[in-house]
Amino acid sequence: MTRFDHPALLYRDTDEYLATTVPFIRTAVEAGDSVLVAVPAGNLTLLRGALGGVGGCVEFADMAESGRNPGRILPAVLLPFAEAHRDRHVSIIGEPVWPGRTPSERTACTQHEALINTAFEGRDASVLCPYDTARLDRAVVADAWRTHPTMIDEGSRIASGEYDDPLLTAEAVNLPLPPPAGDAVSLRYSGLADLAVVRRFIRRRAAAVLPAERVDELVLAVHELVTNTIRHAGGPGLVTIWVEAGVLACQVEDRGHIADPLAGRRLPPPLSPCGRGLLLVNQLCDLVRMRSGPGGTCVRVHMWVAADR
Amino acid sequence: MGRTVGGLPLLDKVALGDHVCWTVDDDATRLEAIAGFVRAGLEARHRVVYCGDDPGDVLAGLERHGVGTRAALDDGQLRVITPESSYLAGGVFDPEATMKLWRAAIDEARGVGYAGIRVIGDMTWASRKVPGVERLPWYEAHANAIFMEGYVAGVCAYDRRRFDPLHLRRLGWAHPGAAAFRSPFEPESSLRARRTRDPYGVRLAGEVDLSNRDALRAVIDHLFDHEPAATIDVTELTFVDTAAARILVDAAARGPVRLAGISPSLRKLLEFHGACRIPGLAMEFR
Repeated sequence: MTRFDHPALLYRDTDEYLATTVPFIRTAVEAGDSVLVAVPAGNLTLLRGALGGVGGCVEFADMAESGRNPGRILPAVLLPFAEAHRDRHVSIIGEPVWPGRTPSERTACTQHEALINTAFEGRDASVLCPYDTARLDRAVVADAWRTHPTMIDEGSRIASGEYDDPLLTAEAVNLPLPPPAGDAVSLRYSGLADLAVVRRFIRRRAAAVLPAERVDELVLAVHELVTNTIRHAGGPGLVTIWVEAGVLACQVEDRGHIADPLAGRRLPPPLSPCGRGLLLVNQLCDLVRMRSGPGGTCVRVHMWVAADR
Repeated sequence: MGRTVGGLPLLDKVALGDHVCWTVDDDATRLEAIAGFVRAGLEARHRVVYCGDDPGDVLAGLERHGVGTRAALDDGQLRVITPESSYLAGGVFDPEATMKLWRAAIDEARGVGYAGIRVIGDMTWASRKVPGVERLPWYEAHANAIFMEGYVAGVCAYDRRRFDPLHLRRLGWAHPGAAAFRSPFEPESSLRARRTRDPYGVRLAGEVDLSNRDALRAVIDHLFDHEPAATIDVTELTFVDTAAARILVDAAARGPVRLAGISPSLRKLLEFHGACRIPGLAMEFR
């Protein structure tokens, strides 16, 4: 029988953290599950130490790196692991939110947590998501109650009364994005010949702010978004770029409507060459926010100006 | 330097091996750019072929633009032919037969000692209801096998006023390069594909995106035409998008491929497509 279990762990300190996570991992290893621990570096070290020899049967990932952009946690961390171990139950500790996440990253995390329920539906998996209630904003913890069917608090499991249809929860954060900074510059595009023009426009502006490798990545990400417009949205679009609070931000607006809430978060069909644009954008950028409706779509991406914040 | 229209040298940078989709929408611009292209070809001692409707009008136009055609016509350096004697030689459009004709023309020109051929084709014939014309996108894509040999430069002039925009867009995808009013052919933002002998394979340069993706696909289709294993040199490829990178990875499904000169950003893109897990694909990073 397949079952999907998605509890949130509310912890106040290291002891409470380990009291639930270590038994979760030990039980899973003993049951023969495939186990992944994807948490920020500090908790990663903590868990490795507490697990001792059992750690050898566990895969570890630094969530602050592989899950820096919450939009890629599903397609780049959780789903590939689940897919690689289809033959058995997978047990995952995924900690997507930590103190220091910006407000827009936190919104993206809420959306991600809601969509885990949809993406893992029917899969034989447990995903435990720890929340540091002592240091996280109260609103973040309130969102955890909305996105997890089950909560673990002070050692006991309770059903969340706040849990709602995950697609509705994800849709509730599909809100207009804050306006670009005052010194933002824009370029209108419409046809195929504009692809190269957009790339040069982005390259020129990004080169002043980002290291060369990241410039290439941003140029590629924006190119993929603009290509999507030209292919699917059937009409002109607008690309805008600016610097704000430690990030180079860039957004692409068009008249298309991305109706699939999991767009850019699914594993692509292995044989189809298409449908990878948004997925790639999620991989390349430090944050991807999207606002989409029948009136049009705005996809905004962030690149950190410094390698670390 | 060819003369320019409104300061724009539309086709000046077209070199042997290039295959350009040129969308035109006014006759004066068309004639002026054709004159520039023909003049440059005559000066470079290339065989120059104009193929299109009303060759007489074009010749008169060339004269008006100061291109002396008489001597070049007499000694065979310049040829002016109609679609009926080339694309439509059998009364229908037969892509395979047309390519055979071009290959024969190449052999003949090589035999006479020309360093290359410049062809400018006015594709207006294809806007008429000609049997077989639905295979034109296939032809335009697979003609790249001829261009990648590096002996022929081809400019296909499509009159925007005569073609359905969506059809024209599809035709454009099959060309590695493009030119249009106020938008000259730029090698830097086009794909340049050239066959290499040692090692056997193809050298790619420039940029690949949605606008010329079908051309890359066709080049890869013909990668193994002469040998069972090939090197794709991507050192001078300055931009590749995700779909184009996928085409490069998929090349290994047809035979052993060595990708040489991979930049850090292309490496990431290839890894995104799982290139390290593809048997028969060897990658060399720069």
